[in-house]
Amino acid sequence: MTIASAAALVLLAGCGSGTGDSDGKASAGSAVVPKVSNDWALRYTGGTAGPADTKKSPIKVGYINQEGGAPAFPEASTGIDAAVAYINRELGGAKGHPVVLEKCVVQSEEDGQKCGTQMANDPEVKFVIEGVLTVGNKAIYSVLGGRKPIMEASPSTSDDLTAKGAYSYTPGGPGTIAGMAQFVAEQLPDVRRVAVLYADNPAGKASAEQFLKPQLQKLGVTDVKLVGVADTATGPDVAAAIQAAGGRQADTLLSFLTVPGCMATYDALQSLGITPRVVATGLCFGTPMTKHMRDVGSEDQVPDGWYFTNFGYSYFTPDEASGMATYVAKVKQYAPKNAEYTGFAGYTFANLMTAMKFVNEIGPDRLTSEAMAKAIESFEGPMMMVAGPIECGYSPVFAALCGSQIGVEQYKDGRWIQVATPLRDNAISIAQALGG
Amino acid sequence: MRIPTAAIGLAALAGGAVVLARVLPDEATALLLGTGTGCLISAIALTIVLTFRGSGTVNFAAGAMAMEAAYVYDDLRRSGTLFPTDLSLGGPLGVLPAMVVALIASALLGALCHVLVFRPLRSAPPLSKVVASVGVLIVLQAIALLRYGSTPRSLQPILSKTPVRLSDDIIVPGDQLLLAGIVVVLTIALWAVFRFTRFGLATRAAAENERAATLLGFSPDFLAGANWILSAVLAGFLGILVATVNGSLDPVTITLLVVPALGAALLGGLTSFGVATAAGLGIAMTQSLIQVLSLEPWFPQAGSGPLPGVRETVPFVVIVIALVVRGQTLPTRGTVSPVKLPEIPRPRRLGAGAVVVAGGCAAGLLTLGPVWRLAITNTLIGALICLSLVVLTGYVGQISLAQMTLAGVSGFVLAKLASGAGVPFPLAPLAGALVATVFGLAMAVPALRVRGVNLAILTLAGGVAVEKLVFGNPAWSGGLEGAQVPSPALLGVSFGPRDPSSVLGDGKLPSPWFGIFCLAVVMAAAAGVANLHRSATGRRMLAVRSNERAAAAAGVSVAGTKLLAFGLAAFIAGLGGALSGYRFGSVSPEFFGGVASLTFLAYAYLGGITSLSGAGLGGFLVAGGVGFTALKQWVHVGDRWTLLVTGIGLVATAVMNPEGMAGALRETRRRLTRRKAVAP
Repeated sequence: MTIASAAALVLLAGCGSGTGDSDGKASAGSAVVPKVSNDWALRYTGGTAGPADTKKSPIKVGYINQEGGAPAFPEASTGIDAAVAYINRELGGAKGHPVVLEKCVVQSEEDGQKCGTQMANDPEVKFVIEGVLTVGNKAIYSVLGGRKPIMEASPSTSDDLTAKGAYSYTPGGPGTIAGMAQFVAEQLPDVRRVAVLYADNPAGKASAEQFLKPQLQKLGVTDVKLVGVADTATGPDVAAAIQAAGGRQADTLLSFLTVPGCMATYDALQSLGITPRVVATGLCFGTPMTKHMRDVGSEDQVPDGWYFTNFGYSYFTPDEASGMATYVAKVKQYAPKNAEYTGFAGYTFANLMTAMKFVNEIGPDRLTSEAMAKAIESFEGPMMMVAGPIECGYSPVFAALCGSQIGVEQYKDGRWIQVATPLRDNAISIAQALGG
Repeated sequence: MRIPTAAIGLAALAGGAVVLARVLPDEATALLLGTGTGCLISAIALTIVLTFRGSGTVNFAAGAMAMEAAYVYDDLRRSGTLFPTDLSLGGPLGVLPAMVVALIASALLGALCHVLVFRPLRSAPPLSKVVASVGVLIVLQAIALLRYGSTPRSLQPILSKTPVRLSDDIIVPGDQLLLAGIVVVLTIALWAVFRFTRFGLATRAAAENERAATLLGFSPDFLAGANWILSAVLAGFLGILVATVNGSLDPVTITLLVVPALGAALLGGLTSFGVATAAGLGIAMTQSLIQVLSLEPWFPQAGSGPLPGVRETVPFVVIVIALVVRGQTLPTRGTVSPVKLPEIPRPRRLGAGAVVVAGGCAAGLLTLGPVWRLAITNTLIGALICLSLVVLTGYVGQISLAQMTLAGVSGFVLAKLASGAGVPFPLAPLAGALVATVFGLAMAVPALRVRGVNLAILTLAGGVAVEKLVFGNPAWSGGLEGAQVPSPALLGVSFGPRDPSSVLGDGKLPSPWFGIFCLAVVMAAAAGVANLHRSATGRRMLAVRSNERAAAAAGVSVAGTKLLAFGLAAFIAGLGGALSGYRFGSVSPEFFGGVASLTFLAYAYLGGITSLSGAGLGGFLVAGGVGFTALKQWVHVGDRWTLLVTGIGLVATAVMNPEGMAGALRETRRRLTRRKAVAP
């Protein structure tokens, strides 16, 4: 089934898929490797300094990710593996209990069912952290939904967003798209015509048609053309889609496509000779994009002047207050050399750190799936590396969403500029747009 | 006569574009931009035609071969290593040396394909060749995935991407125009080679009549090998250019271009370079135009947007019409090739076999742990879909690459009826299977005039069209909520896989009762198929499979028999789709996509497509089935290797044992029996 699943990509708009460069530094920007103490992490998780007691019984955390086929998201595992090492070696585990992952890898719908069943049947697994899945989600939620809580790193399919018992502290694709609309209408000047390229799958289509366009129109931008682009589209397909969306006449182009779509968008704009403002997702600032810029002879790390959405904080200018500095320092310390550490990696790391906070609060001896579900659902933030208040279930449509703000950064003249971020008190709230 | 036709077509396209450019510049630009993807499709289509003309094989791996060459080239450019090895050639190479080495590697790949895979299959039925080329596709994709993963990589451009202004309103990327020129030049060159050179004429002669060509002093084997090498080099050359125009490379995008490329090649009768090129361009240009038109208010709507799938469906409709018009209700005299078809064993000792299989499965479901319970359930559902191919392909010789699509139709109908309308079990799954039957009968209509590999390609394109048009429609897919399937329940008792059993088993998921239910459905379907084989209808099916002309002469209604086979096979596949919906608790377009049907044909073939036991063994091999579970549990073969193992297994089976694993087991049993008989 791998050929089939390979063709079945979905909306991954909300997240960056940036990857580490060969020298280990974040590629799409001059990521600083901060020196941090463990104070922030100990405060956040409620842990105790020092290693976990290996004689104590382990806390088993379910972990499911899509790897090995096409597409695959191994960087999500880089993040959570680094978090396990950090927690066990420096944060005292969970009240002294070492943390271990019960891992299950998905490549097909059948694997999803297998992983869901594996997690459901294991009484020691009280909750599950999910990396990124574009296949097998339905089967996982069908088995696990409501039995054991699932913490999602970045919801990428419609099932991720609507599943019972699933929670995402990041606003995911719909949040990003709704936030994009608000950013374009309220913070960019002179926006009249907007061309939109969206990933042509159920989640992408629904987000574009039901949220992006109405939101833009509600905010006064009435000339909006949406064009779906297949996940396996070729470069020329994207050029044709830009043309169809009125890219030549538009003053702003919104793109929430996959990584090849990002490259193709850049190429198409160059080769069609048109220069609209571009607002893209974090998928467009990773290593593949940076390499592409080099290949086409550009000195820039990402396209100059483009705006990129994030979840409030930047990998490239890590701050201490959100925990981003801790993350960047620790993932570099514990992840294998040259491993990709931006994008999804950050949010699996943050999710495990947050889960440990809950386990420490509940107590390892009283840990149950129900208690964990209650803790996850009632969490109000602040969430590591994620902007804004957390309120699970605020969106009647996307029941799994808890995160309610996004940020925007711009790459201009070789520097990263934080345009909308909680650090400047201007993060974009999307709760209202999503029905909250 | 065909090149002029193609030239007229191309000229008409260009002329139309000029007129449009003045009247409707947006539409004209869309058409022109469509040539970009059109060139990619045409490039792959050209290599398909070349391979077919030279060796009589439809190369489903043409896109994968192009993709592989692009990886070789890019590795040489970046690091000087020779893909898929770590062998260094002393540092990064320039464009030309890298291209030359990559094309030498492509030539080697073509030679290997010929010598190891397709030469042994020269006299094999079309199905064996289709399966072998699907196997090559899977192997090449698996190698790329194992070596590089799925992360797309960027490629340095070779052709200039400078914008070219054709009028005030029309600007097109320069590299697309250059690629179009290269494809057209290559098309003309290939036509000239096959028209005027000794090599080309010899190849054409061998394609018409190998024996006569041999008498004239040509070696059909040499010609086939030379054409394989030539087509691999062509695929490599165009693959490199296509990848650089595309801007990025991954194991999927170029590989999947083979689907529209097959359609384009088919429109050219798998023999005309010119028509294939024109068709590739035409398909993409039409799709590009539809994309622009879909934004018009008059365009059919679904939900709050344009009806999805129209782009993918229109070319399919054109192909169907062209093939049906050009096809014949019966093959003409002399077109029935005297190839040896796989043996269809007469079902014997069915009762005993059924007891052993059902008893073994039931015992496994009730006594083994959750991992094996799940594997057995997956195997049973897989076996049911393979069984549908036994009826259609094994008994009647019709190659369908749409069985998973038909299963999906049933799954979506089940979801709609059970979740949306509250239709209870077993009415909802039966209704699903019946709707799948209607779709299957619709698919049989072109099969009345199209056969062999042409039919395979047609059904593949049809499957993709249904996937995009029907499954992608929010009304079917359920929009954001998806198409959910509730547990089956009878007399208030649920027995879905997620309903833990308090009566039997260990109380863990999946419920053994669901497995038992699947077992009952499979046994019932198998009994029906066994009886069909022994009946007069079954004999009529076998007659059609052997020789349609002879069957018709003997009074067999070929059309009626085909319709019946398509309908029955669709019903069985529909049952499989319904069970699959219950298994996952939902249905998704991706699981039932057109390409999934290719994989399922491969499983059925590996198991043995002509027998009940073959269907069972096919189910054994499916993703999540007993076979791969055993490999993982006992041999610790990682998930990442499963694709490569499947591909190699397919190629090896097609070459060494066209009757599949079941055939091999039968042969072994016969040998043992003979040995016993001659022993003193």
